[in-house]
Amino acid sequence: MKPYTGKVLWVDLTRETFVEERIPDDIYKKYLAGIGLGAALLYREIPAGADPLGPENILGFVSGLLTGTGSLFSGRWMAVGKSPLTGTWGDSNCGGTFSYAIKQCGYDGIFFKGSSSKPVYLLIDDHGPNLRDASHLWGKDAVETEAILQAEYGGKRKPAIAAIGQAGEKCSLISGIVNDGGRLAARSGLGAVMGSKKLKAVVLIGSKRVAAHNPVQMKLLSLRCTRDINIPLKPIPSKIFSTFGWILGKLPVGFKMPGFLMGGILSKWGTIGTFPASVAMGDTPFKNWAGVNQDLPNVNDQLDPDKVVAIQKRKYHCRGCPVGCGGIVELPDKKQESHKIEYETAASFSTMLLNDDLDLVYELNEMLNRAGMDTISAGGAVAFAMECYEKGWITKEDTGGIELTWGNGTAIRQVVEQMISREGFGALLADGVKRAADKLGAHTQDAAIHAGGQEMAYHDPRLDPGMGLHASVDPTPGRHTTGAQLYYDMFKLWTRVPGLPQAPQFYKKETRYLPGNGRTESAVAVSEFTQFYNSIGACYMGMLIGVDRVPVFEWTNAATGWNLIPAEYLRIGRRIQTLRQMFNIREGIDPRKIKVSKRLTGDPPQASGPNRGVKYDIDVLIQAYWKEIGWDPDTGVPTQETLDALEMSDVLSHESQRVSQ
Amino acid sequence: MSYTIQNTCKGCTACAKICPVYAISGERNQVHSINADICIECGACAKVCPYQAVFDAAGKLQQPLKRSLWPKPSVNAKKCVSCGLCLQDCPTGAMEFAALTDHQVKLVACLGDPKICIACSFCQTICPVGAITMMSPLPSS
Repeated sequence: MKPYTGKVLWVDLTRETFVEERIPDDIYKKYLAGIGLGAALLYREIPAGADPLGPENILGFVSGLLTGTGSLFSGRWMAVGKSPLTGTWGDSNCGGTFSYAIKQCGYDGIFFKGSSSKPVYLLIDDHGPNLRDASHLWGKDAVETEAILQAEYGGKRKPAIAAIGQAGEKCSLISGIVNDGGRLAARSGLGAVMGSKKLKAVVLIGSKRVAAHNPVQMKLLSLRCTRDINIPLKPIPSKIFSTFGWILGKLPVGFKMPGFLMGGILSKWGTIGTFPASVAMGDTPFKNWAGVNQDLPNVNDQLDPDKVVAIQKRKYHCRGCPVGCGGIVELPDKKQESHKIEYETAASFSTMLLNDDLDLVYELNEMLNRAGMDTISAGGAVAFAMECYEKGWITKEDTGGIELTWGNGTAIRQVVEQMISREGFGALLADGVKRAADKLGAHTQDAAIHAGGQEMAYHDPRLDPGMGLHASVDPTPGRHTTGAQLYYDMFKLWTRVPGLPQAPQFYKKETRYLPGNGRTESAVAVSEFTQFYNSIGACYMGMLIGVDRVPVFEWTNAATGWNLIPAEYLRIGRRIQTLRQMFNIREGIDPRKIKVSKRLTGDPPQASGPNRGVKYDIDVLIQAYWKEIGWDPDTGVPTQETLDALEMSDVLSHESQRVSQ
Repeated sequence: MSYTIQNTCKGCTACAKICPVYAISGERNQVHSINADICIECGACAKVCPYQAVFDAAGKLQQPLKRSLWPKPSVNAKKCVSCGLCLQDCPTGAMEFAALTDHQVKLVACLGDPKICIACSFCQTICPVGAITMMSPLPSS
């Protein structure tokens, strides 16, 4: 048996037709599955210049190559398409139960073309696909929609459901796709693409199976992995990491960060477990990236991870994950279940807005999960508005009476509600900070913090310029999941790929901001690895534990029987990264114009705090990266030599071979 | 590949009733057939066929087995990593999570509803850490 189904489903929403396409084995060998397969097919199918919210755009749901094979950390699925937020290639990653459910329906991907004239949802069960009327679901939030569909189709076996909330329906450009009661494929604004197609939900109830080429080897690898990642942190209080972060911030030297503790931190607290250290060391931004951690001195007490998990009713694992960073909590005063807050949401609605009310963060988290709106972008948009208000660029008259002062919980709640319903002042922010600044005027641009239109996730590039570099060069800009210098330390790729530079044990902090000392080679390797693990359906948090403990290359070989060396998998990663860049080039995107806002490069430098005085030249880092990966160092366009060396002509010349329906 | 039914089938419908994916069709008292595109090779049809009319995917004739003798999954709670793959692979929804309370609430897979378990052993196969073993009941039980 194979780890992939060898088929994808094309759904034409305009004509209400279905076409199954068989995918040749060599496509899997060259692009794997997940994001790689998605990029290969959508480069072929989406016509250049397609309106992201028009019927020509295609929205895909793709499962990972290793999903369902018995490997660990491999339960992620991805939404793919052209992003309406950035105009670039768009993809967004999520966990839960949905990834394996795609394969259980007999497909490695489900792609939606056209658009429906009325709200519909797709149902796939063991007897095939069906489009059903979703009029009764339109207007409902994503969690309620899922509950209604669960009641209709769920028995002992529960269907996996992905849906949009009100934000996606109203084509908010910062909306995502929701599954498993509030987990979001949040970035790139792909919820708006789903809303533009009037596709309310996808309901999957399949029973088909995939299997590994060598199931015994898969089990042996998984068993060894569970032993190697089991670092119990039960007696350790979360506050200790605040001190650890403070020390790291004060030291004149940096050192190689170990990944082996990640499993323990994530298992005990979830991603919020990294919050105290991040705040203390200068990783977490404050006050729309213009403040410092002393602006909200009690935040590590108020958002202490031990307090966050105190209301946790049970842990939550994505399928195939032995760590379980998620959690189901009971909201205070509401007797309502909700997902535990993640690091990004905590930063978005606490430090960025100078709010230290944990209950409010929980409330906003649930509100946005239900509406299907990206908490990173939503918080960034409110922070932008608060800075504009502080500087007098907008007034109470503009906000409809809302006093948008820093830390004003009532105002934050009101604006977020308006963003979801696209009413009042919130409507201005519902498409993200770039469009809001475009409407307010050029003088507000410096306060709109983004890369290529995507609000930057909350890890400060002034501390780790690798965050700024990857957020600028990746074809989906503005992400924290596409790379960082820290990730190279933690991935430990040099333990599996001979020739890659070892991360230095100790280094002077100022050397972070320059491309030498193996920094550029390692940045490209991180990009390649990211594309690889996004194609096999692996979780980036799990990858941070390190490939010396999490055997992703070995699992892939055991699942496929290919016996490739890790360097060959990284080459596939480079091919996928280059294909995504070619998608952008074909769209007329100028890579030189996509980079993080200048505030994130220390322009102007901060006067105090852990990152005081830091200023660096992002263009030098970008050009070095482009040269190293084989893209023109002056333009960011992949060179012909690179395209030839990566043997990509099969996909790049396939524009004329679209699936006919 | 798929299970198949030979013409010794008497159309008793037992297989169609137990098939978790509704892959079997046929009129009562007529020979039934299995839709190869839908069959997941769980083997439940063969176990309940009183006429030994079912072949497995390899073409081997399968023997019926008294339901009380069907093996059932037994989960080693210490080994279980709560990944949930067994829940998702179970074609009948017989596998569930149970809460195991220590310093925080941990979920452990278990056979929630033995009555609907069809002894397919998919859970044992998919379990990445070998925490599930199919156990046959003791003859006396």
